[in-house]
Order: sequence, then C-alpha cells, then structure tokens
Amino acid sequence: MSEPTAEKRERFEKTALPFLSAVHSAARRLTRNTEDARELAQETFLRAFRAFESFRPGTNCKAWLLTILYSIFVNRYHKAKRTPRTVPLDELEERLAAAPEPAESGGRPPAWSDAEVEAAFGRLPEGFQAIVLLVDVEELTYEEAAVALSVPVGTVRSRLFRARKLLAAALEDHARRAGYLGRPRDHR
Amino acid sequence: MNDTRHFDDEIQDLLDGRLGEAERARVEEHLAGCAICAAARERLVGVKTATWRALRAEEAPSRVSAAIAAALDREQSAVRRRRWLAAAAAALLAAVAGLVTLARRPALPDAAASDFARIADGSVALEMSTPDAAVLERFFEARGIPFRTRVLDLGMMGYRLIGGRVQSLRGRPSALFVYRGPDGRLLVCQMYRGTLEELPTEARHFEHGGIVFRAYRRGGSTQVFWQEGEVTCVLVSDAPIEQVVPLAFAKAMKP
Repeated sequence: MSEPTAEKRERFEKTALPFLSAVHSAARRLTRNTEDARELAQETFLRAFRAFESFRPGTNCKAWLLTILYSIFVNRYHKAKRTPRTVPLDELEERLAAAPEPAESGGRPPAWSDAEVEAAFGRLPEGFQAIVLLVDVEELTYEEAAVALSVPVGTVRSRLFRARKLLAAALEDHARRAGYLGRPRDHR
Repeated sequence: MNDTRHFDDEIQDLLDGRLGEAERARVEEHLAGCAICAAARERLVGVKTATWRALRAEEAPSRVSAAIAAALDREQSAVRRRRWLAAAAAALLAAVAGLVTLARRPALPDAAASDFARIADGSVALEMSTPDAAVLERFFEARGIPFRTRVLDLGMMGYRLIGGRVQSLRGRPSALFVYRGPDGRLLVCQMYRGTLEELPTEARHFEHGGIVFRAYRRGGSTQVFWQEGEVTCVLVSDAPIEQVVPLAFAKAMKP
C-alpha cells in the first residue's frame, strides 16, 4: 500500500523543497533561459515527487535532485534543441593554450567580477559547465557528480581540472585584452 | 626532500581535499618552496572562489515556487483520482468475480447429490454415530447449527438412524443425518436455512398435507426438498423419486 499523498507531500516538501533555489539556479545556468529554467525546475520537482519512494533518507537530497535535473536537461532540452551554444572544446583549448598562464606574477590573482566569470562559464562546453556547477558551486562530491552525470569518477576529476584551467585561462585572456593583467612571463 | 618537477593535478587534488596524509604533506612541502606551483595554486583558488561567488544559487523567484506547488497539487489530485479509479475497478472486478463464482456454484440439488455420494463412498465421515434422534439434535445444537433441528424417527418406514455431521451446503451450515434402509440403502437428510425459491425451477412438484415438495434427479440420486419455516429440508437417496417422495411425506411436518 503506498503512502497517502498528503503525508508524502509533507515529507517531500520538508526534504526536497529547501533545495529549490539550488535546483532553479542550476536549471538557469544550464538552459540560459528563464522560461526553460522554470519548466526544468518544475519538471525536476514533479519527477522527484513521483519517485520520492526511491530517495534514501540520510543521503544527499540536493545531489539526488540535481541528478534528476541533469537527466531531464540532457534528454529534453539539450537533445531537443541541439543548438551548439558553446565553442567546441578542442578549439577552445587550442586558443587558450596559445595564451600562457601567468607564472610567478607576484601577489594575488585579480578578483574577477561575477559578470566576467559568468561570461567565461558560458563559453565552457556543456559537460564542463555541468561539472563545475555540481562540484564547485553546489559542492557535490566527485562521486555524487559522477552519478548525476552518468560518468566515471575519473572523468569527473579530469573534466573538472580541465574546466577550471579553461576558466582561469579565459578570465586571464579577457583581463589581458581589457588591459588590466600584465603580459605573462615566459615560464616552464 | 623537495620534488623537482612542478605539480599540476596534485594541486587540484589538494584543493579538493582528495589527497592522503602523506601525499598532502609532500605536495604542501613542494608548494612552500616552488613559486611557480604556489602561483598555480593561487590561480586555481581564485578561479574556484570566483566561480562559486558568481554562480551560487540565488533565491528562486516566487513564481517558480508557486508553479512547483501547483504542479504538485495537480499531481496529488491525479494520484487520488487514479487510486480511486483503481479501487473502483478492483471492486468491480471483485463483484464480477463473485458473480462468476456464484454462477459456477453447483445448484442445491447437485450439491446435495454430491454430499450424498461422499457419505456413501465414505470420503466424508460422520461426526456423531448414534441411533438416538435426541442425542443427534443436541449434537447439532452444541455445534452451533443456527436453528432447531428435528431428527425424525423413520423406523416405521424401515429406516434407522445411524448418525450425523455438520455439513456446509453451498457455504451455509447444514445439519446432515443419515439413515440406513431395510435393503442397506442410505438415506441422507439435510436441513439448512433457505427457501425453495433458490432451487432450480425444472422440478417435479408434489403436495402432501399442504406442504409442497420439489423432486430432482441429479448425480444418480434423488433429491426431495420442502420447506419448514425458515429451514429447507432435503432427503437424498439413490432410490427413484417415487420411493423417496413417500419418505419425505412421512418426515415433513408443518411448522
């Protein structure tokens, strides 16, 4: 006999709804569209509610919700639209490799503005965006992110490392163009 | 001893807290003495921090939470509707199954014929063996037969009582008692709460002393039914109808 819907709803609201902002933010970052983000968040919570019996209490509910969200995103929004919104990875890495990392620049690196970070993040390949969102923003463990993205933990690690370097290089590239970061010294 | 090569992935592992104690100490020692790797760490810390700060969750707009609440409301109503429909379908199914079972249950004359056959071949035993009608009547009372039984002495007709048992005749308790005739022929009587209206209509009808009798031939035996108040009685024997009906006339009594 399944749980009465009113009790299930109450339990669900207590457990899952505290992560509404995290889910909606991730949806917004992935879809980059207010309307799609609202729909994706709504669908995520609806599916989570339907499958709530499968959620194991005591495990990370945010990771569980983000797993559902990413699965819907990949199957519906990404596959359906198939719009290449990001620069291909090879091209990006090639371009950024041409701009060497600043080494021993002395002092702290510049404090990037939110807009600069958002722009650099937006240019990351989609799989890399998701991994940065899950691990560096939503603070999932590598293992939780691996489940959410259906990839091995080793892939999470290597993609995350590359994504951070790409972000750093993109930000520095931008700063150099804007003229507030000096030319790097040759190194290595 | 300091490592001479520069670190790369190890720095990220260090930032993410994924190094073991010894490895962490080794990388930290190197970073303390290597400006290039220390700068690389600073760079990654800067990116990680800036990413978290720029992309961290903002409170979802109220219309998003309202949309989710509305979607959950709709889902709950749909679930309730589905459950109600499932329950209704299950009830309907049970009712149909009940009707089918009822339709498949043997008619009362067949059930009585079957009980007679099982008593005759010994597959159903008597629970009380006695030639004493009063003893058997007390036995039925003690066993909770919900009406007063009347076990008649048919000695005048050459039949002597040998015993009885509580039987279930198409699901209702029945007082069953057995006589043996002069030629060793068995005669089984059953009494149960019922009406003659439950019987199949295609019967031979007899009337005696203001009592109506219905006679059937089923399963190689004769069944003669009559009504005494709230109780239906049936006599069963493998003798032909014409021989069993007079026995029923002798046993039947107006309430």
